[in-house]
Amino acid sequence: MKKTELIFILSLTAATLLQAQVSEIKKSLICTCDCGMTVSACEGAMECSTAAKITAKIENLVASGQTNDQVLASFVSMYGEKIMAAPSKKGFNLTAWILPFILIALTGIFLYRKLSKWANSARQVSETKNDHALKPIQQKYVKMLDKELEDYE
Amino acid sequence: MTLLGNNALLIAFIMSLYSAGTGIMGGKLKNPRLLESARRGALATFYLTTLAVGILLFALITRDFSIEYVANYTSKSLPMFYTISALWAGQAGSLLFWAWLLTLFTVIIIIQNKKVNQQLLPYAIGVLMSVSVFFFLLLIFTTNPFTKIPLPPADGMGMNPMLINPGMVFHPPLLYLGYVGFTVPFAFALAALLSGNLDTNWIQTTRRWTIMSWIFLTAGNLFGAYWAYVELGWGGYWAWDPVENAGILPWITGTAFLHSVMIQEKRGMLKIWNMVLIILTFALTIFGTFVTRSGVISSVHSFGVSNLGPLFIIFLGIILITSFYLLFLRKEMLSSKHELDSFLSKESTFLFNNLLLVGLAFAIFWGTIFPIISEAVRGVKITVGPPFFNQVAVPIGLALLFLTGVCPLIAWQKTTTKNLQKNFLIPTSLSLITLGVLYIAGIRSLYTLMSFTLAAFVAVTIFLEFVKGTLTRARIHSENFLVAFWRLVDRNKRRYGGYIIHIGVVMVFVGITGSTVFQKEKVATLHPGESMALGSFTLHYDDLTSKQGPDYQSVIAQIHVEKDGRQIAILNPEKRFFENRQPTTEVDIFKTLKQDIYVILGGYEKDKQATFKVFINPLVGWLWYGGMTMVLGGLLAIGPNNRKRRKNLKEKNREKSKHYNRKAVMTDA
Repeated sequence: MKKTELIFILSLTAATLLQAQVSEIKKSLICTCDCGMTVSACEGAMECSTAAKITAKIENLVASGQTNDQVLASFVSMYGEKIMAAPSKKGFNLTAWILPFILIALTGIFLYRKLSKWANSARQVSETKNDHALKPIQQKYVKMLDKELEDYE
Repeated sequence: MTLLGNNALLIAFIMSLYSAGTGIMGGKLKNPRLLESARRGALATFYLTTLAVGILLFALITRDFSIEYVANYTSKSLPMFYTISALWAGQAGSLLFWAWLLTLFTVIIIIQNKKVNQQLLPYAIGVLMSVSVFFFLLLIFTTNPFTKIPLPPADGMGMNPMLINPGMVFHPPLLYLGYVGFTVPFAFALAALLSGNLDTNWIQTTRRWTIMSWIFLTAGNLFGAYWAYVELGWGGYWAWDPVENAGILPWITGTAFLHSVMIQEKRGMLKIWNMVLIILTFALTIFGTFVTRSGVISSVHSFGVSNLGPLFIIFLGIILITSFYLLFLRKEMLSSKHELDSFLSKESTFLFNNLLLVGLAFAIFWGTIFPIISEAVRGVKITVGPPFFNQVAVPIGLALLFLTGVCPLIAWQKTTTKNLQKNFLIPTSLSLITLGVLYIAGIRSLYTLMSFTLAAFVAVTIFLEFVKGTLTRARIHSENFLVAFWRLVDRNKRRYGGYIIHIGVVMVFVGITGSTVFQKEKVATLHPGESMALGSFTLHYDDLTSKQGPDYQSVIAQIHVEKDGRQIAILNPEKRFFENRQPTTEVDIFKTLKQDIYVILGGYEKDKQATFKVFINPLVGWLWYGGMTMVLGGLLAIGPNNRKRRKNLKEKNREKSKHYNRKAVMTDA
């Protein structure tokens, strides 16, 4: 492989990586044109000059060697937290992320215990019935019915 | 004309107030004359609202620009199809349309229940008319569609160009049909609470209404997503915008309700929970309306800032306080004996399905209102956008998909471990094979692997349900397989309609995963004759032309797409320039079931150099077809129950023959 070809391939790879980084950052920022969409989505329609300016700024910062976090931090320092497409995962904002899962987990545990309790109480009632009410011949039919139902399913 | 419209609304308001009062009093005093009066009041309200809608439609069609609403949303050049849709394109018109649907549905339930449900009906009319009162109040005092302009303009402002799309013509009315439709089961639930008739009657009476409303919401959200995809031009279809969230929230709790009522019907359990779910679903339809119309939460889809916000919040408060107070009063009557034969039962999976659906609804609701909460608590306004909703909703959605597959494998009441092993064997094996194939194909993302594997699991489960049912029926009734399949579905439309809906859900998951994970995009600036490559396609830019539209100037690019040196499509993305509005981008899409090639024309220069943004959206078509399958499954589920019909007919004939026999005996005597 010639040296020039190698340089060309390397520069192409670097450009692709930078483009991917820019693209990822654009999905994490909200356009300041008040559309409520991410820069990536707002720019999609290619009508928004604000989105184009933000993209240019991201490209400059990425080209200067900044990481994603550094670029995002510099935008937050300029526009405030509102520019981030999602709240940070710290402080009060953490409640946004974890509250739904905490509630689901707690309700899930509650539901599991309730269901187990209902199933136990039903089992006890059915065992009592089986012991006292069903004659051996009836128990034979119950078993047959269970088996047939099992086969049917 | 406007005077007539205003008076119609004013009298409709008075009539709805009267009908609400007489309905509830008629139910309380068990007075049939009051019920009759409430019925007639509701009928009069419907006629008057229809008159108001007719007047506004006439004004729109005749382009009466002396009416502010007409001047704001139509113009002389607006095609008739879209002129009619202007009825729901703006705030006042859509509120009038909403009120009209509500009065129409009230009349339909009056006709449907003419000889039945006489204990529930008066209260149901009372509740429905009370909701109407609120909408008439808005129409008369805050958002009047018949407001006149002192100096009418020569031409109207016209409709927002982005609303000039067939998707946008159908999307709002379908959503309204769904929103308003859920008022009916809510009204019957409150009627049950007010009357004390708390058996399953209110659920059975409104079952079709609930499914129909769910179908409308499904179709409405689907049309909304499709409109966003083809019209907004950003390559996606769901941006987790507050208004989009507002549309999906009642759909989620409505889905939970549809599953949960089955337990009440079969086992008499969860009576309170079902009440809670339908109250929440209705409250979320009002919350959705509040989000869309108040401007409190900023959204690209909302009607803009208005003074309606506080009124909707007050109304929402009244609904929640009244409903939960009634529920509290009746909690003893609603308590049921909770017994489960086994933890491993369909009842359990339905309850966990409910937990996840309500959890998902809460997560979306919480994310939607979190900017307001943050501002109130910290004084800092933040944004909660797609990264949040994707991270929160995806795991819950996948868990739901898993339960969708598990549920048919587990029987009502109890499932033995042996049965469980037998039922899970084939679906689990095939889904594990799918997982292996995907892994070998190079897919490493956990969510992607889970989504496709679970989709395969659910698809196999449902397929086996059809196969097992058909084989069993063919064996028991000695029918051939086609007849057995047909009769299996025909005789249990609710169950198999549900399965078809689940097939649709699988397709939607495949579509969302494919189009999100494997999406490719590229921006390129080209001169005519140049080309760009993306994925396995080459896009050749041929020419740039211009065209005069009805009220715009259009610049159109011509691109031909090649794959393996063979031309497969010609695409014409364009930009439209209007006199008084911002330019719009009209994307062009080459659609296949495998993928869409989505081309946006960005900027261009005098020398025809143009910038294009191109997306390859794999499997996105599965989302639209999946949505359609869900709608079709829903329609099947509410189809007439032939077995029930035949049974009723038999009973009727038996009654008739008894009557004739008695007559014959008397004649003989």
